[in-house]
Amino acid sequence: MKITKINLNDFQQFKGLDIDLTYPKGHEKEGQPLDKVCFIGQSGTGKTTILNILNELVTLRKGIATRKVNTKDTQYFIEFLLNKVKNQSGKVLAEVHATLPFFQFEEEPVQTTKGYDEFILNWRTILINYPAEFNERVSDFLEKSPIHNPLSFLKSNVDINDDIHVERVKLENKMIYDFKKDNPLDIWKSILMDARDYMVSELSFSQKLTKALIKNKRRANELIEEFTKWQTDNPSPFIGLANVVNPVIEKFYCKIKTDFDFEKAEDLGFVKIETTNDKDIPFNLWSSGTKRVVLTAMPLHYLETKNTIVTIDEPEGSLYPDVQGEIVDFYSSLAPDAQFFYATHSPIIASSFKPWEIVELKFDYKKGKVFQEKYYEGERHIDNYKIFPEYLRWDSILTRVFDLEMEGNEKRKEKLLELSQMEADIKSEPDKTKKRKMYDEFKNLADKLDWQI
Amino acid sequence: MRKLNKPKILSTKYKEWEEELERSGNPHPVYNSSRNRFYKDIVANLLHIQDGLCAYTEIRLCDEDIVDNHNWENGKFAVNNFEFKGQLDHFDPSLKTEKAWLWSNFYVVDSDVNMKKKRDSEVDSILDPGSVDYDEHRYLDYSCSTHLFIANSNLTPDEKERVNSMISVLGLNYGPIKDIRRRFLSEKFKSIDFGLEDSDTVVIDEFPTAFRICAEKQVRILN
Repeated sequence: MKITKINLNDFQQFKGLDIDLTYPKGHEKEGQPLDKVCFIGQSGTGKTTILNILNELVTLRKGIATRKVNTKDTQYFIEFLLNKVKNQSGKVLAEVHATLPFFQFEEEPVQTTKGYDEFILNWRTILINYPAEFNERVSDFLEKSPIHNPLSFLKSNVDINDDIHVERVKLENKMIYDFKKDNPLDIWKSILMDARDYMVSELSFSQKLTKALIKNKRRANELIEEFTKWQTDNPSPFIGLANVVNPVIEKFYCKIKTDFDFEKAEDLGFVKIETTNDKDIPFNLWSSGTKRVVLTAMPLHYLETKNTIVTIDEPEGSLYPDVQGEIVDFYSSLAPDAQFFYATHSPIIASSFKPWEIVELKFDYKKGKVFQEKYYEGERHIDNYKIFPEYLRWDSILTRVFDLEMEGNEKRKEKLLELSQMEADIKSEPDKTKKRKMYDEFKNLADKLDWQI
Repeated sequence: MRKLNKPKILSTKYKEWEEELERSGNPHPVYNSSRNRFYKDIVANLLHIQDGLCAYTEIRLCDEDIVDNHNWENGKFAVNNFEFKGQLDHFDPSLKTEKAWLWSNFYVVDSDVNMKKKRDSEVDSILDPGSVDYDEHRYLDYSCSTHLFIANSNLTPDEKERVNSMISVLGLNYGPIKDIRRRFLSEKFKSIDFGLEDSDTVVIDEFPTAFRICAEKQVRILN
């Protein structure tokens, strides 16, 4: 499921705001819901409020399928009116619309009025929410690991009554991961369960191999080949996570440890990080950026995210600019079929989006409401967009997208004016010696301002 | 910021009313913005004089043809609804209480410049675009590299300080407008450079002062 439209008729600072979240005309996905959306705007314009509305209305799971939509590629979609917020007199204050491609269903595309929750029975995850305060909680998450005794957790036998089965069913039925309340380490339990299954398979191979080595060397060689192939086709859960996360955290000179001996409980409490020179890094020495990347990536990598809405408030938290520049594409690569909603104050994050993927909210002081700044003129067509954050320098994004009124602080402006005045004065100075001295001062100031002369 | 021909009066009804106010010596009615019956006439007359540009920054505020001569009937502006992006500014805010409707103190300017830069700052008449003594050639220079207005190098140090201070008060180098001006000038000069337009015939419908100074400097460089 993907969100196509948000109508905020009369909700807090919003009045009559309709946000179109589909690809514009001229795009190969014209009319289909956007894969990722970025909300930007001054504090108080309602970026987080919109993410909260999305979270609440998706979580309620009470909308109805209103009609099917036939796109130009003759793909069928079910359009949902997900839910409404009404006041006491029944006036609709806010509503969210969404669509689902019809191939999700094993039935003929017919007009339907089924409830939204009837369609989601087979979905694994419908929502993952990373609130802005996620960053402040990462240390808490790590210190309060929900797995008290990972060794016994792993050693349990598979039995209908045992804990591990209960845990597995609980996790499989969980559809909403809201990290305002949930701990991302819950997902680590799933990874450990997979690790346990992996260990069982590995053990079975090694037992067969031992027997074969004693009785039949040819069979033993065949088994070694089989085992090698199996290992290639079935990387351990730790290797899978390491493969996706390491390219990012290697920038911090660390990597996820994939080699576990399964003997020490502290080894299994959570992902282990080591330096690129293979030295263990204890939890308390993880950088904030490492914690952030690992804890946000793990759910996206591990959970089934085919129909998932992912909301991430302030994705730039604790991340150095170079990582900010990659993080949006990184998250998309982990959950390619999910729909992402970001809210940010970072020009570098904003540069990862096409102009039709950005929703800039602004105050209209005269009318006392918030409106969406349009980046196109005339028809909403890809050719009519005027601002492309991907093409801009970081400072241009600040002035042209974030509407910062100055290219630097007041002091820079003052010094640029001084530089301009110096340039004019040098030209009108008749004395060559004085002119040379003035030029040296001019060059010196230009260098400090990083101004090309 | 060009010198403006303030005596060019089209809003004769308003002007008669204003002159009568002045003759009587009584305080002006309280300034109540668009609720005044002459507000539209004052704005349209000023925009006509200003060629539809902000009096200070020369950014475009409305189409030229809207404020053309032919839209006036019996000393009143005859277009009911017209849109412009600016605000009516009292050049000298200290006159706003007693002389709120004084013609010589009015200009139409960019809203952001008015709200964020000028506000109620104290002014120096050295850069009053409607003043008989004002001469942009004498007072202003423009850096074609930083795209900032500066005081002319030929001025005395005291005059330079006064001019630079007023450049700041009037928002001539206000960041967003400076960026628009830089792009506008670059595009114009590039189209001349490519031979698509001629420097004598190129249409300069915004920022004429900055364009003129850059064009003159370019000619000097080429010669």
